[in-house]
Amino acid sequence: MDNGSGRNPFGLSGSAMLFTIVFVVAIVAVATASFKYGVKPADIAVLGFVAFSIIILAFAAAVLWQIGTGGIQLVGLISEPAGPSDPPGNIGKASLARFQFLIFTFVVAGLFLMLCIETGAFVEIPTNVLGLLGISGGSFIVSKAVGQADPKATSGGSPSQGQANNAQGAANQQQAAANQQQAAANQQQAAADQAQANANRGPG
Amino acid sequence: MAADATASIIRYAILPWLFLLFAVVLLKILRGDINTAGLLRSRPGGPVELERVTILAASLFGIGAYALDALHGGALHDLKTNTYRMPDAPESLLVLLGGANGLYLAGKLMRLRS
Repeated sequence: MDNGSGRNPFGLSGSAMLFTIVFVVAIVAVATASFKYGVKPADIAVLGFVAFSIIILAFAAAVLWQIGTGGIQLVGLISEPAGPSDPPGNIGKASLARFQFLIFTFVVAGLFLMLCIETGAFVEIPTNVLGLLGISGGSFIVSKAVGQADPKATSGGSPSQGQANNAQGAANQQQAAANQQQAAANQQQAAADQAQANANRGPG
Repeated sequence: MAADATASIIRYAILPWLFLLFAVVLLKILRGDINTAGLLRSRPGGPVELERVTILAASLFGIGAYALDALHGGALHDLKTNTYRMPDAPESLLVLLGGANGLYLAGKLMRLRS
């Protein structure tokens, strides 16, 4: 089964293959038990709903965990794209239109969710509120178009990004200095070896 | 019964999740993990621009006022259709935000042309 790269012909690693087998066996076991004990379709639907809910909540928790621990980088969340002349890995300056769009989306989404929970049903969003989001979204799009036409708008970079770049630059300088010292020491060693060889050969 | 309980868990878990997401983003902005350099400037190292301060203040004030109004008033019940809807945003708020955004875009375009 192993093709030499730690993966089987299905393209799954060992743990993923084990998980798949356990998952399939569990589904078969649940289906068999349901058939044997005559579980009603409504109960099966409830079980499916519970499993689906667990998966959705697990997704939500995983995303939040990854954002909190830095697995999902948000450094450029409200930044414009870096210009073509910027060094690779750099980010553009922060955009006010993106920040406004972010705030509006957060507030409207939060209010919508809270009112849905309060009433126990979906609430309609009035056209005025959609207009608010439209103003913000339209401003974001126009700002993006203008920003791309502006060649002078260069990267800003976050403080943490700047600190990281500075640290990397200092490390590179230290490495270059160490390399120069090593080269000088090698030259001195070569000169000493040459002198020793000349001395051994003698005047004759 | 189990479906109702699960629906309640989902209902009351998503809201804390959303608030935690807001909190994480806010914390990252305050810590500097999200880039905010140049938010009030059109060029790095340039002066703070008036229209950017205006739109920032108008946005925070406007959306904050609407959020407070919606939280105090709650959802509106339409008796005819027996549906609920979010409270309307006042027309003056739309004018304020439209004007601030227009000013911001006009300033940006003028700087691009100059």
